[in-house]
This record gives sequence, C-alpha cells and structure tokens, in this order.
Amino acid sequence: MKILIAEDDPVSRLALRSFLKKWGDEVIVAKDGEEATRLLLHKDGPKIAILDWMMPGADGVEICRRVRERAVEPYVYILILTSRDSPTDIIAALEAGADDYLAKPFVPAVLKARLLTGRRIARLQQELIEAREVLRAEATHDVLTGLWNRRAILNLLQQEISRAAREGSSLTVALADIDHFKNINDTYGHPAGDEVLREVSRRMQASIRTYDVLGRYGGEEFLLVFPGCKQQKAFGVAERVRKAVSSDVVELSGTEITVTLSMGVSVFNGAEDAAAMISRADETLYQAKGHGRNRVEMFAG
Amino acid sequence: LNPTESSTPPGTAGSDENLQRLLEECIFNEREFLRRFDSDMELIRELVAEYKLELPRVMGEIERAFAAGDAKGLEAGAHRLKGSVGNFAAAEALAATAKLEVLARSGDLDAAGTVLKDLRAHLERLNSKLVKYEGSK
Repeated sequence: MKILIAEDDPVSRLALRSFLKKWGDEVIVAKDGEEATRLLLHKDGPKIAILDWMMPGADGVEICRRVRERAVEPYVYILILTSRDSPTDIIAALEAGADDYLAKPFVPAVLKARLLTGRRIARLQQELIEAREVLRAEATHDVLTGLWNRRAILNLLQQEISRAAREGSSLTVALADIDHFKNINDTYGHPAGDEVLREVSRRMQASIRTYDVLGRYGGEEFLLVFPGCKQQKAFGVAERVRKAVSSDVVELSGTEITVTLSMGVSVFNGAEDAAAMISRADETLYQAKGHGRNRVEMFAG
Repeated sequence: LNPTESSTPPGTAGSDENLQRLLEECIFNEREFLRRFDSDMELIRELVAEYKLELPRVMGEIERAFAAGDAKGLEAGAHRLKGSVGNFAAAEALAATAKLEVLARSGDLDAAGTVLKDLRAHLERLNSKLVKYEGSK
C-alpha cells in the first residue's frame, strides 16, 4: 500500500521508511508539513499517512485539519507520531481528524500492528467507493447498450441548454429511431433485437464527436446532443451517424440484418426547455419516417 | 551500626555488576536497540550513519539558538534531536533532550544551559557506544 511519511528527523525517517519497505509498502516521504499536505490532497495520493506531530511548516495536527476540511476521497487514514502524550494532546490530535496516534520513539512491532487497522479501513473505503461507482454507473447508464439512460441524457441536455442560453452558443439535438425495429424483433427474436440495439449504439457512438452526447431515449429511440453545433454542421454529423449505421449489415450468427435509422434534428432557439426541443425533433423524425425512412430531416421552424 | 552493613555479603560483586550494567544501559541499551531493529545490521549501520550526519547539524542549531537566546529555535532543535536520539535506546541522552525542550519552551534559558552541558556529555558517551556500528556496509 502507498504510505506517506512526514517526519523532519532524518534518522526516524530512515527507520520508518526501512520498516515500511520491509513490510511491502510503497513509501512516499515528505520532509515538512507543506509537502505532506500537497501530496495527501493529490487525487492519487497515499491513503495512509504517518505524520510527525511537530514539523516545520504545517505540523501533523494542522495537516489532519486541512485534509479533513477538503474531505479527500478515498479517505486518508492518518496516524500521528508524537512524543506528546498528555490527554489534552491526544484529544487535540483526534479532534483534528487523526485516526490514531503512536508514541515516539516508535516500536516497529507496535507500528506494524497499528497499521493493520489503517490498511483495513483504507481497503474498506476503496471497496465502498468502487461499489458506489458501480451503482452510480447503473443509475445513469442503460444496461443493454452502455449508453446514457433516458434520465441521464435528459439531464445532460438540460445542462447544455442552460450553458447555450448563458453563453449564447449554438446547440442542436437529434432524435434517432431504428426503422422497422419491431420487424427485426418479430423476425429474428428479441435476443437478436438486443444485439442490433447494441451494435447500432456502438456505431453511433463511434461516429459522433468526443464532446457530443448520446443516450438511449426509449426502446429503439436515441437522443443525440451536439453542443456548439449550428444547423448545417449538426446535419452533417447526423448524416454521418445515419450512414455509419446503415452502411454495413449487422451480422448475427450467419444472418445479415439490414438496419437503418431515421433522424429528426432541431436547433436550440435560445429560449426553450429540453421537452420543447425534443418535441420539435420528434415532429421532424416523424416527417423523416413519412418521407421514406433512412434519412435525416431538419426542423423547418 | 548494623554489623552486616560493613561486612561483604555474598553476591555483592554480582550486584555491582548489575548496577554497572544498568548504568551502562542508561547510556545505551544495546539489547533493546538491537531488538527494536530486528538486529538488521544493514539498517542499523545506515541509521547510525544518518545520525552521525544529523548530529552536528542539529547540535549546531541548538548551540546557535542557545547562544542567541532564541528559545523557540532551541526548542525546535531539542525536539528534533530528541526524535533522532529516541531511536537508539539511549535513556540519558533522550531525557536530556526532553528536558532541554521543556526548558526552552518555558523560556528558562539558564536552566537550559545546564541541561545542554549535560546533554553534550551524554551524547559523547552514546557516540562512543555507537562506534562499533559505524563503518562500511
């Protein structure tokens, strides 16, 4: 595990570093409080810190306070090394956010035992964060396609609308629908339909710009958000998406399925909400279907 | 007088040796020192070498702070030296650094001067014990 040592006495620093290395840890050394604070507040900083109480710059207790104020994540387990062992000092260190303290000169075997707790807490914290991130991804992503789900893509669109209104920038959305998707399901079965949805999603995602956003809006409907995009440019990107989907058949266990997309595009008028923009894109999509499908139509408002 | 007090009871020579050993351990408790560092001679030699480098630096700071009447600097130097010396199971030197730190914190530089004198002597004794751990790896 990556462990930070902040200790101004070189002899104690060497002793600490040697033992931690012997126990298999990766050691990062700070010679004063300022350097320790900077390292601990770094995103990929150590998750366990052994801090000397008294140091030049910020002392151990001050570092605790700074780290806790910034609520660094994942949690940093802080062990204070101190020769100050009065109840008042111990309370001050724990109240500042230290997790444990150890008397100096430290006894290596005791330090090793105390670090068991630190490692356990650091590991638990990491597992909790990973579990939360999985839940977060599940809450915002469509399970089948991996794209943003309906709620997430609507939130993202609303954010882009706010930004476009604030900055006076362009914004375009496109609503896309797989043509005759019901026939695909009826002819090849639902697992094949699912595979088509996944493949279409991959092709769409690969053909948009890095700052465009794509989400699954409904069953076989997708919403694309093109920030900073004027009408003509948006039409070009939408055409690219349409072609990316229809240019090649989708192959499923030897069966070739032709898939096409119809798309309706609407441009932000400077004063409307997400629902209004989508409603106009939907109207336009309806026209694209009416005009023969496998085409992109612009809203003529 | 109790006649037994003036006679030499059996085992006195041993008691003297014990006392001598205890006094020596106050200067440097070698057993404790070796146990603390798992008798890892490579690490021990490195620690002693680092201490030998650090000692003149920190003692220089302490002496300068004392001469300048800088109680805060004296306290900081004493604290750092206490950390170094603490690694060597050297009770006397450690106690002297702790005393010096406390006296400096309280601003009592006269008393600090006396302790500083003791500290120099304790360090000299400790250093003579550490000589055997110096040298090439």
